[in-house]
Amino acid sequence: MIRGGRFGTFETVTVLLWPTLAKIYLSFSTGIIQENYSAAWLGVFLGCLTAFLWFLPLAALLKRFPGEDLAAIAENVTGPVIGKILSGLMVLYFLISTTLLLRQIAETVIGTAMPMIPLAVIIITITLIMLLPSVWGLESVARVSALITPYLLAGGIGLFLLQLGNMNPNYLAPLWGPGISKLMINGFFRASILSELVFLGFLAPSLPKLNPFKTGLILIAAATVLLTGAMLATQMVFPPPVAAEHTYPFYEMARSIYFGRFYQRIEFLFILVWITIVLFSLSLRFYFTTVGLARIFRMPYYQPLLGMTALAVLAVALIYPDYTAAVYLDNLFRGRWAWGPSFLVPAFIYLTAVVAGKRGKNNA
Amino acid sequence: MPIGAQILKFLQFKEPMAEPEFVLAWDEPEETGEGRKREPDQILNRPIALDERPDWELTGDPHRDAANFIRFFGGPDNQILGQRRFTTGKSTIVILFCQYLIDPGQHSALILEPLSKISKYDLENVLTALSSNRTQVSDDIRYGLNQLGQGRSLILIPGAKKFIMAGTGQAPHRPVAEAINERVVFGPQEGFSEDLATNIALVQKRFRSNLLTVETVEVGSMSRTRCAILSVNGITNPRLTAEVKRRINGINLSHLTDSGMLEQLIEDNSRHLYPQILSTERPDRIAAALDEGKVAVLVDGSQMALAMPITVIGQLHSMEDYSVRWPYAVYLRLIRILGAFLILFLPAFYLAANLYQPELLPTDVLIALVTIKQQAPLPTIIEVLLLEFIFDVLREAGFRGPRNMAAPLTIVVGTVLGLTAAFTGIVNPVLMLVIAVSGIAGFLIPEFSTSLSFRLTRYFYTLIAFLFGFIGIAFGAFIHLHLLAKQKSFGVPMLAPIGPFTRRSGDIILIKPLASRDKRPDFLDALRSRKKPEKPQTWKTDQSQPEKTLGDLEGSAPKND
Amino acid sequence: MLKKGFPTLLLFVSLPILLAGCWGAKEIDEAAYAFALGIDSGPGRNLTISVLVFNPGAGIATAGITDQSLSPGRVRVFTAEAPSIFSGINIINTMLKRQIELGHLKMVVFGETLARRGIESYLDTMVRWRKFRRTIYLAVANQGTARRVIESIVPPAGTNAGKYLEMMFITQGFVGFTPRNQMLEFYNALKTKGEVPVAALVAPRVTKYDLTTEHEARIDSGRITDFNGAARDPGQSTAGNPPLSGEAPLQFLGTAVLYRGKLVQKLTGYETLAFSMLRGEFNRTYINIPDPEAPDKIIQLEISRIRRPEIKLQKQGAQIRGQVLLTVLGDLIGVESNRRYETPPKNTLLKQAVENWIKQGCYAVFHKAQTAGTDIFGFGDYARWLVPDWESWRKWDWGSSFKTMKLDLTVKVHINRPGLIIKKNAVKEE
Repeated sequence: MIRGGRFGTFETVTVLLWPTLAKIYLSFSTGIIQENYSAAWLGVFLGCLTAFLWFLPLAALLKRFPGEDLAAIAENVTGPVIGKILSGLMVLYFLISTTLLLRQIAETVIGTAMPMIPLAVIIITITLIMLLPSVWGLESVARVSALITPYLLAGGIGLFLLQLGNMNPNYLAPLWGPGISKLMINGFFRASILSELVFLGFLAPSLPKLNPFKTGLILIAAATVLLTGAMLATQMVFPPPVAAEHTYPFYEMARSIYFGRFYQRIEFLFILVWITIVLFSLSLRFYFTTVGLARIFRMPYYQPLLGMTALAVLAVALIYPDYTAAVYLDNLFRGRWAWGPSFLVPAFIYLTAVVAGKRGKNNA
Repeated sequence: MPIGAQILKFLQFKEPMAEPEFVLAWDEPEETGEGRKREPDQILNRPIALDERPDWELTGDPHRDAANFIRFFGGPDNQILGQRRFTTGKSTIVILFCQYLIDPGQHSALILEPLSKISKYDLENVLTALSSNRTQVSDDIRYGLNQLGQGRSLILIPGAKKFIMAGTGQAPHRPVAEAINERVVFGPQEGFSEDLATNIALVQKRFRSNLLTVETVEVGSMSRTRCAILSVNGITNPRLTAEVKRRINGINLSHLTDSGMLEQLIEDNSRHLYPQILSTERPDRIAAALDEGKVAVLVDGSQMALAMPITVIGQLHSMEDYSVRWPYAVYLRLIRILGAFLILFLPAFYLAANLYQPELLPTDVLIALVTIKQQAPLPTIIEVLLLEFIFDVLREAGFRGPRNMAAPLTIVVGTVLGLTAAFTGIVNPVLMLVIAVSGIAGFLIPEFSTSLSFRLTRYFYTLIAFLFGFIGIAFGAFIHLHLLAKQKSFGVPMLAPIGPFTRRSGDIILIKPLASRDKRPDFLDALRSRKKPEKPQTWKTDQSQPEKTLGDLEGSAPKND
Repeated sequence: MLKKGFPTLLLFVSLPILLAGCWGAKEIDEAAYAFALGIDSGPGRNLTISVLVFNPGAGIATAGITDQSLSPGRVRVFTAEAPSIFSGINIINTMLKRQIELGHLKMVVFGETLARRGIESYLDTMVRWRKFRRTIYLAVANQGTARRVIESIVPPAGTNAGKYLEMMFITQGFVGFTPRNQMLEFYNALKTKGEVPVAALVAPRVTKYDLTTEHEARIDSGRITDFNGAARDPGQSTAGNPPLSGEAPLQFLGTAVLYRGKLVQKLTGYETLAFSMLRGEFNRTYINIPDPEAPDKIIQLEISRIRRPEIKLQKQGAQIRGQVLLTVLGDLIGVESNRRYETPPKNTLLKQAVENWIKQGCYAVFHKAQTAGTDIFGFGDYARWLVPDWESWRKWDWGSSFKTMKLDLTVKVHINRPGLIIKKNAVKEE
């Protein structure tokens, strides 16, 4: 069977944390500022709170069916056909988000670090690198991400702290941005920020002692603090009209660091940090796509699917006409509507399970 | 010969002499049982098949048994086996020994002399007379033959269907010398020599507990190299020891050259870039490893001992960190880690900054580089690879050259080459500095295999930096970390204890003060996880002992007034 | 993995990658590094682009010490006329054996006529193209063209032009007569209503400037405030004008106010000082105030910032009322009259004199900005807190509110240390 190996709470949290935080390093802030103007950080915060509320049925579902993954639970609870459709929706979301992320990473690399590299070369290289952790197994990825988390956090947070001299808190005003009602609606949709929580559902079989509430709470707390902090920092350096224009907001932040003659133009060291983060995010998403597919069709091993899924992801990533389209679709799918497959579907399954009174095999 | 005759001889054509050509292949003679023809170019009187087993029994007649033994060694022409016979009255004993593996002085003193003095040759007399400290009585002929190969003497006694094996000193070996490859400033300077008994003695000197266990295994059908497996009864996880023994016993080899070969044979993945077994030539390191719960293997004839399992972090530890005071130890560790980063990444960073991101360099540095590079004709990648290669060549030449020429050779040649290159402008002096610093940083790594692996990985990083710049370095680091994370060394993940988050032992990357380092590493699953009682410095906290006053001392002095 | 075919497969896959070469890798000596860029308005719609490029000498540190104090050989200047910045750079590249590389650009100078026409359209390139960073310094050439400024940048011997320019800007931060003018703040201010972008004023220097004959003609006649009263203070002029002598390529003095990208106002040195104080960007500088008891003598002080000014805005009906508290630390440097200003009662007198001097200057520049309707101080940013959401902020015409704003300024000066003389004339002999 698909064995994930042994790893503990800290590793699970980091495995899920980096796909969530990788958004900061792409065009996430720009889209949110375009909607919410100066209350973007409030939007993020509200989104995280909403995601926490949506997380409760998911965690309860996982606790009810310990040791089983969402695909099996869905089939168990709602029957084979509807179960497959529901889990298929989730895996389809994983797939689309992986392709969007792949394209965005390739274009960002070209746009920021290596302008003259052909898209095909870089995107194929990144696809191959995306494949490797899934070939080697989740255990190694989990270990590396646990190992490297403190340093990535230091690098990522350090970047924002280095901009303290440039920060102007007045850019956070007016406080309510587009107005309270609109802000609430946007915040509700922005629950998609934490849509990576649903990966927990596919990690469950590898972690027999998983306590979904504890892991999820730690993850939500950490992600809320970091995402809101990142948004605040970005907003305080650039006012909304400026920040809403950025293609690569994180890159712009790094570029503006200036501490005298020597400590400037050091954004390439931060490029190392962010590309590690986005590579983690990409390879983990890809892993969950493949594992999800394998579990939907009740395959004992997911390794045969790797090559085909990678090829499919690559092909779809190349279909998007340009970077702007990829960003727009990313904002649409992953930014506003991801809460559907990630949270609504498990909530629906949970309701059905409660109503039908089904419980897991290992549960009393 | 006069010159005319020489020229004539040269100009004439002479038929070559008919000589039988030398062919190495040996035609297999047909199976005719006893009647094997003796070929004139046979080595010995009697060819021996590789897997021949002794099929005779002890008869009790020493002469016949001795003849059997000698025939098993290929006949009397083989000078390897020496023999000595003592006769009193009608009984004779025969002493067989491999004459080059023994210490002649000890042999005479311990065996020959006592035996020549006793009157009657039977089992008890001979046993009592022998003053050698390792005597054994046995009737297993294969065992006896093995032990002959290990340097013991075989004493055949008339009338007894048993023989006595007696230890007779050691084969010539180098005395205990300094550890030349792993030098420290603070700490013992002893290093292993090539003799197994000496090496075990060196380890046991530092681990005199009754829990130390030594098990010997022979590896290699031809070389019959003895390997000693050391573990600590009650601390080492017995499953680990069993696994090590299983792996060593599963080796099917004819000749075991060195512990390095053994290391490759029992490793998890010998093609991986990083060693999974620690090899060291310092006995104090082995003793420390044993105390932590690792298993050590010593190989006869080899100067390097093996300790397993090992993690990547453990490969960066040196014994000096434990001998010096704690603040210095932290400093040393930091420098070593910095050295590890320098050796891996410095040339790659230079290359990436030069080719892809000149904006990264501060303006002054860039100006200096551009000014210098006006003259340098080579493209940067060629320069970097060339210099790295030359540095490695110099380094290897320094190692392999004659010892009294090594240091002057490296210095002079290096300096001369460097200055020439700098003055003619062929090579960028800044680049030479970069490569020299990163090469010398490689000497900081205390373990030889690990430093070799870093040197190799450096080339990969250089290449990938050439292809993709800084992004390439990030890609490379990503893959490198994953490769490290998935590799296990005897069941322990190589990135433990920071890979999987196990309980900390106070001695991972940075070292904690001695008083806090009281746990064994968790990943070894040792049977007793706390090393010492909780407070290694009870004298600091325990105030209950009365202080010795002068009055006490006076009271204990003998009274003589 | 196929055991047999795998190495071959790997070779086939990696060979094209290795053979195709590096993408965009450029050796560092294949680029000509530009340190300064000048943009002027040219004939018709065209621009005149001037570029200052580094000229690497030959050899390793064998460049001898030249006798001149400036080394003109280390830089080269090119000028081209083109419709846009990059077509200008392109055409300059047709003359050079290396390509111009903008990654190390330090300064962009705009000519005055172009600035008056408006530079907002050219800023888009500077924000969009990745080689232009937001840490580039912006300047406007005072009463001249950017080309003249760029051509006069000849770094002193032993430095390169990039170092010279950067150190100039960093040092100016300690002089106090120029504002903080990196593109980051400029662009932020351009896009927000609450701030107005400013740039430094720069002028080329004539070498061997002579004090006695020429300075009469070159004093800036546009001096508005005269809060010194007595002698001419160089801080009251803009770049290129004050009486100075000595060889240096450039002078930075004064501020150009570019409302919506168009040059509408220039501030002199002292006005810039006051403006920096109100913005909280001021670091430290030397000032001289008239002696309160002997008005024809001068007291010199070094003032530096303790903390940022505390600004509070309140809305009273349709009028905005601003309260600003400035706290400044002063160090007494020189007293020309023999009076004892270190001890009470005279030190309070001194304090008040300094406070009044600073207040006068700040009010003066505030009124100057108010009449023009340019909120250079960033009070608009504080006004953002007065509205609840974005729509109301968009509807608010801050420019006209600023024109009727009332400012309550409180200045606190702490003169803590009297220098090396603790009590002037403590013991007298006569």
